[in-house]
Amino acid sequence: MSEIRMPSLGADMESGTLVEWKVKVGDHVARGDVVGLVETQKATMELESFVDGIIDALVVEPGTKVPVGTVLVRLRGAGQAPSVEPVTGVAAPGPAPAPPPPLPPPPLPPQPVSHIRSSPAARKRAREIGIELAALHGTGPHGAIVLRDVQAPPVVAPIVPVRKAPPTASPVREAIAAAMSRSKREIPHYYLAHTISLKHALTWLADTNAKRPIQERILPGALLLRATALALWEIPELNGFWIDGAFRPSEEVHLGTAIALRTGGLIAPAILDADEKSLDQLMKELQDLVARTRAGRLRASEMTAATITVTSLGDRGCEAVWPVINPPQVAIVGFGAILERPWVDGAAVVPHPTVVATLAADHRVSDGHRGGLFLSALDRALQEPHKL
Amino acid sequence: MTALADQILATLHRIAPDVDPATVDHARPLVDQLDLDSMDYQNLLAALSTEHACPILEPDIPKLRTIDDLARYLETHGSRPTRTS
Repeated sequence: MSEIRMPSLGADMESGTLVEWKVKVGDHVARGDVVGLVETQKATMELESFVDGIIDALVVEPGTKVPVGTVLVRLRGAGQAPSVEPVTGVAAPGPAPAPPPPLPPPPLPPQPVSHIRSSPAARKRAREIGIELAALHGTGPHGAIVLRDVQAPPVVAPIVPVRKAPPTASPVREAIAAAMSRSKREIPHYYLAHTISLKHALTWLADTNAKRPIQERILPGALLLRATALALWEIPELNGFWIDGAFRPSEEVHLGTAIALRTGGLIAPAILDADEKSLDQLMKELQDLVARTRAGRLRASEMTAATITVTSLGDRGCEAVWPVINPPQVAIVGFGAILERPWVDGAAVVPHPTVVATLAADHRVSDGHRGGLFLSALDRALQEPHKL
Repeated sequence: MTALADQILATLHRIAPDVDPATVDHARPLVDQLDLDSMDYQNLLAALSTEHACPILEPDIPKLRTIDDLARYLETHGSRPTRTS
């Protein structure tokens, strides 16, 4: 018998809401299969099974907020008989084989919001204005309820998307506030910056992309991630966790990738084993990660695994970022926008595309000298893009 | 053209469900208007290229900034739209 519990998706997470089940009692699941959706302060995420087995009980009803560690699912091994204790959870969605109930069935729960096809933005809006999704008519794909279908009741002023409401303390904001306050309180940061010419890297990238269909195009962001992962091999003390007063280096490089949320705040799911992935694989994973972040389909494991974080400001960003370490990690790498700058190339000053790479690292674990070597290694890797 | 624009908006909504297609101005650059990042935009162009059997060439990418730009490009360069919904 195994259990799946409400995971802790960050040092500051105390509880989460079970949004929807993706399985029913009696289903076979394999390790890594998605069994349900969990909503935390930061995002909706997929809850995975960590074992192979058969769903014995779904303990928590959709819509229930429970503390971290609460048992959500009980599973049994393939050979084991079903649990004899009455299932305390919800009736499984869909045509489930009805076990002979020894007790009168519990009153039906209200139609869970999650059984209705709907976009995350629509669900969020519906919650904010207190509308039942069941009462709405969906106009999205397959009849899904999308944001435009969710209108505030007429007594409320219509939501005009011209000027955003002043920021309020959203759950994402609260989570960021807690983690960043802890970081600045506990971690003695030091900061380094290094301007890197991307002339070779971007010329190589343009040549490479010119030969490819658009679906296989590589963006500079993937190149920067690849170079970061390789440079970490040389300076391993930037990769790992500070736990209980000691540094625990990580053998694996799981790159947390900061993604700005258009609804405010940011989230940094990890690309697992980034150092072992080719440039093409990293690009695909990055595309997938951004798409799933937008769709609210990140996996719980991706939220907890990052051994270091990378934040890229992107095309429309400013020239440099001085990032704050995400505890219990011990370093964060930042990239400003790629900008043309005057560059001394031999005896001439010529325009080069450049990026300012920054490093914020934990002084309890590393020093400026080693941090500087990391930025140099990053620079070197980017000067030989064909090897990336 | 309008049908094509609607299809592009449907693709956009699939790639970025947090964007409400109804609010999109067809003549304004999408990236600025909707705060799309480069990966969102790459996902959009790749999906449109696949769905409309329309190769999008690297040098053309900077010219494709608005819904109107995209609709014109797909109409000129694409085969019949493959998606009907």
